[in-house]
Amino acid sequence: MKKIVYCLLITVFILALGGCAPQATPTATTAPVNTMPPATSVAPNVTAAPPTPLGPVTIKVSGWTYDTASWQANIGKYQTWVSTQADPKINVTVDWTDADFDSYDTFITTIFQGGDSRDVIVSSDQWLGKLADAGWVVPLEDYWPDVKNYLPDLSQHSIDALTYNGKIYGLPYYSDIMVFVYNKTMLDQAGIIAPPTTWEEVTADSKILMEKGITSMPLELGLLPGSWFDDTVYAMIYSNGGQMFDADNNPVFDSTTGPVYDMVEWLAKSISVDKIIPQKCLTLEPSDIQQAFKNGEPAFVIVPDYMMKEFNTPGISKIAGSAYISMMPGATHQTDGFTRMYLMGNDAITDPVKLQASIDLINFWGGKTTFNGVTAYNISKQWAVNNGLGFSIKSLWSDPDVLRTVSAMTNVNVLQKQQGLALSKQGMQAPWFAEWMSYVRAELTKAILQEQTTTTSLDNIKQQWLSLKGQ
Amino acid sequence: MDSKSERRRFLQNSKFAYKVLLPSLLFVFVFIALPMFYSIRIAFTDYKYGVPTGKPILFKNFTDIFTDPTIAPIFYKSLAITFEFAAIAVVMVVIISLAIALLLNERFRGSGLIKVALLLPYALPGVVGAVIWKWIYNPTFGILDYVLQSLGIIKNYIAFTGDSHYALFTILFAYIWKFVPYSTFLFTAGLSTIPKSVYEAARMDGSGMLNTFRKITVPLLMPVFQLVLVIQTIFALVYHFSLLYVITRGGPGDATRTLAWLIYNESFSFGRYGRGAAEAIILALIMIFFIYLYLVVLDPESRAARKQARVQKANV
Repeated sequence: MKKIVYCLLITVFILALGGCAPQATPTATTAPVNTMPPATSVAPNVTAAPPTPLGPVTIKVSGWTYDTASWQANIGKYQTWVSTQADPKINVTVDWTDADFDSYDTFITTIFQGGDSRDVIVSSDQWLGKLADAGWVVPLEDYWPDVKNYLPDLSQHSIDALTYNGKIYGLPYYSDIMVFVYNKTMLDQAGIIAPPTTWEEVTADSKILMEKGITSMPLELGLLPGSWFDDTVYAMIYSNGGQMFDADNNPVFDSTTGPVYDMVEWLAKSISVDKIIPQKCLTLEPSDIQQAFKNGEPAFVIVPDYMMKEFNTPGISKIAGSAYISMMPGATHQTDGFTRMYLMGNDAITDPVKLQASIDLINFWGGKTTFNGVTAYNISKQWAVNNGLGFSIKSLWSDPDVLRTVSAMTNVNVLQKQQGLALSKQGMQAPWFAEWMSYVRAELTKAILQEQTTTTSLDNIKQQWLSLKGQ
Repeated sequence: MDSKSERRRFLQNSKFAYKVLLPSLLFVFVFIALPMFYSIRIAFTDYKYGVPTGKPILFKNFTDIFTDPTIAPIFYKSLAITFEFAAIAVVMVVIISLAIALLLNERFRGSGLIKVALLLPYALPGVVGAVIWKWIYNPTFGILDYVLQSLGIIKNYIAFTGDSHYALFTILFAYIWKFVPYSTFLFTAGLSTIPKSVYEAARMDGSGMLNTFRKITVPLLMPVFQLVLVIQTIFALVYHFSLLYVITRGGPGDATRTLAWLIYNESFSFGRYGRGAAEAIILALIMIFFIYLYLVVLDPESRAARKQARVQKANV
């Protein structure tokens, strides 16, 4: 009996080893250039449509959970537009799946790695390198050369974010920058007539605010891993003129001196010595920072610009009307810009009708199309006006609705000037960027908490990058 | 009777048993055995994201984990944090759960209600419990800071989960709260099997509480001790993950980056499935080692044999 059981177990084991190979993930085929009929271009002329729409076809699209009602409405608008007003008309059903932002990278990776696929995915700039390197998304310009017509209308940091290995991979969903926000009422109470322009002034002003009892936590930052840690740290490094990598992805920051070193030292001193930044910032979610500022707790925060809508909306913010942005303190006033984007999945290129539908979807959501007689960046404008999301489309500044919305939120001149000084995160195109950033967060946190020196942390970060690059 | 006919009779009698067991065995095979075998297989490959199958690389994942200058320090640090966490967690859970079980063993008014209330932490889904503790530890509105400040123990609110001196203990407290009930019920069940007459006899012989506990309760409870130690060691090495994910995410810095968190990161954040599987195997081997240790050291027969050997040695 025992022998039978053992034989069974061994047989099962061998079968399991042999039979459990993962399914091959679809690999991108060689990019056919200009084999598809031209899709709807920047300013489309609606020509005579074929009598019968193409399809029906279903395209699988994934994004993260944010304002689900608007996403569903946008899916409906696209399905209506593509079946009645696009050229060619296509009967399309969008099969939408989503996950929360924090686990979205794992969600998408699991989808593709598990053998499933997508036609269009909503993504973020820090994931493009990994997705493109794995072949899970394809260069949009290879299948739709007209996408490059949009580039002159986009800000440079957004173009950099959409580009991988010299090719454009998508169009922006929204694009925003990290801004330095101050509570004017608190500054007025402290007798501070202008917002700080250098980090030393931030320290000095913060100490004044603390001494006068206006706030015990003058500056709050999102330093929880997974929060705005990456964007905040990059923004502060850039503001001092810091550079992380050169064009060949070689680390160029010095671990003993220079803007990157100075910034980490300033953070460490601000938390551990001057105590102008509370240590709890290492535990705060974005919503906590948002709520704290709306309740009038800190005088300064560094947040994405889209937060300004909430900060200055009466009824939901106690400090409505008091939140202003100023140029990022530092030597160069540069800041971090980030772009969320629509990318084409490798499944879209397996069928010509699906490919057309996917291109149309990206164009409808991220580009300029004619919908119900209105030719505009309809969806990008909707996100900007209704939700206050940022945009990198220069011509949207001329739209009166957009201008009115932004003016109600923030100082337009300062925002435009800050946008002009925004840079995308250096190094994020590397497929190992996410892995490296996970290490960076741990090392910089140790430096900030003074558990090890800044030099040790920066040396470790550099070594880790070189090791990952070498692999 | 010859063994062949005995075997035939045994098989016939067992047919029904196997039929009944088949669904469970299938479930174990599909959801536990197969994934386990698959993990073992990919641990010896360079399988990572974007690659349909990994190439065999024999023990390279393991040698990298133990010797690569950029990987090994992270692994060893995680191992150290894991051992620190598990050691404290197991000891505290055993002591607290045994104490509660001894208390509940004495019949008193309301003991039934307490037993039910005790179940609640264990009955709550892990993530729900973790969110509750995250709110308790919140440095702005958390009740822990409020109580400590009200009692004058702290002057200002402390961000416990953001301080590397306290962060691991925040996970420990939440973990102990969650898993004490399970062990308490195991000890309670074990205590209920000890005949009351044994305690009465000890009392009549003048044995004190401590002596009774040492000489009667502990030896008779040893099989349950073994079970609780084995289970709690497995739990402590792995089942704190949901607490880490919600409360600290391995931070601040790497203060709470245990092996479980490292395995998750390697596999699902970085897409290095081969290396993640190799780390999981190492963790499994550690678990097996401790279980073996408990079974050998605490096994009553082994203990008796060792005691006899000591006595014989002393008499020589």
